[in-house]
Amino acid sequence: MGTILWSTFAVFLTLSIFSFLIKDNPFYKFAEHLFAGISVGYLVVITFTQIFIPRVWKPLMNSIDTGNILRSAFLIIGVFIGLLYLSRASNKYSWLSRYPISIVVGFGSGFAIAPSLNARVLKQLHSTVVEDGQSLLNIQKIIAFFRDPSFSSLYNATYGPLLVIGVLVVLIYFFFSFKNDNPVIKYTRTPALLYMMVGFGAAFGYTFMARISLFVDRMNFILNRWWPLIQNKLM
Amino acid sequence: MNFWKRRLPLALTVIYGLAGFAMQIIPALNGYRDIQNSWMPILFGFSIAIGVASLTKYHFTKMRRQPEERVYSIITFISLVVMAVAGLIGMSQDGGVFTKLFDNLFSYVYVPLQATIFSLLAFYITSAAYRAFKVSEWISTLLLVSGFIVMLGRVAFGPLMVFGKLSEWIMAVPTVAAMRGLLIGIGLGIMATAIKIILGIERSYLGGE
Repeated sequence: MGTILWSTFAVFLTLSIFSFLIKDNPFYKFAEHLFAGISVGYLVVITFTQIFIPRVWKPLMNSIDTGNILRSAFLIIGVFIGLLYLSRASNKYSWLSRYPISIVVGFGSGFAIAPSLNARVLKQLHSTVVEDGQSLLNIQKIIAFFRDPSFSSLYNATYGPLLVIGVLVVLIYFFFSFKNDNPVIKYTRTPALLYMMVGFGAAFGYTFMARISLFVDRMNFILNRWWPLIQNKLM
Repeated sequence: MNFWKRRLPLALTVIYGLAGFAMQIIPALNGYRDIQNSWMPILFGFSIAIGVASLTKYHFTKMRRQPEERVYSIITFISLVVMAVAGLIGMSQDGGVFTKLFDNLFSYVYVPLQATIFSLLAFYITSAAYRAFKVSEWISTLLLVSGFIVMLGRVAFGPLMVFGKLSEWIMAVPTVAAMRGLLIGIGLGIMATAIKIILGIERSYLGGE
């Protein structure tokens, strides 16, 4: 009985959210506010069980047990600095919250430089020059296409050059140190837009299909899981 | 007072920024990195507490100022408390009533609502795509055509398999090129912003005053 009630409630919430497609209404508002509350409540539980207990409480108790005073002091100072966040509730002392913010922002910034350079710049540039140990601008592949023209050899011959040209024109598009009348900037503008629009379109298509699969899952829940439950109960 | 309110936080940013950078590039500091990393979840946890306090404050103010919307704020507040209490008490008693309540709230309220809200966006991005198409610039039409090919490519069968191949090419060549260009730009942007923060040029995170 419990499962039927909970499932019916889930169906009610699903339909309440979809009712927004017609217009804003009290059912949608109910489901929306319920979601906000439940999400934050869930976040509180996750923060407590996944962060506070294993990362603060247990290490603190361990370090006290083992007599590691330095480690426990470090954790206690961390908690104290974290508590300064709560000063935001006061108008007079809200500036104290700048301390934890400064530490998080400062450490996060310093910590992000090397990985960002490595993963987002160097590795990407490397993959634009070499792939699987071979140069992307491989003249042999172009010669191979002219020797034996086929879709497969055309793909192999154009793959590298199109990729390299694409990366270069997109990078130039976002290079704002020269005026727009600079010939390099001017003539790479349209190809860059072309690459980006095709890329954004593909990202759009992918996102759309992901959303549709969620929609299919909700319909599947209503028609293939909830409805048979109700039928079984009624018959 | 200016020292405590602005200069010291700024100095902390510089010190922690340099320390963070040093810990990434000097292997000998790896041990300190783990200790320092233990602070970050603590600070993150307290930022969640601030978020909860802020949400509660917002809804209390809303209850006072907009009596007609009061019932929705009460729903948010009650659902937050019930979910948090069920989860926190439930974790200490396996299989108890609170654990069941938490599991049911998660499976029959949180998951369906999250999936439905995300699936709702499918309808809105379709409408956005239609509006982009109506702009009738050839470049915006290209976006739509590319999106359409990728959509068909994901579910291609029989004679539509050509869209599958075309979709693979779009994903492997122009999309990778465009995204890689953007990613390099983003990476350089992150580095520049991080350096600006460490050097104290960017101070907006400290707020006004």
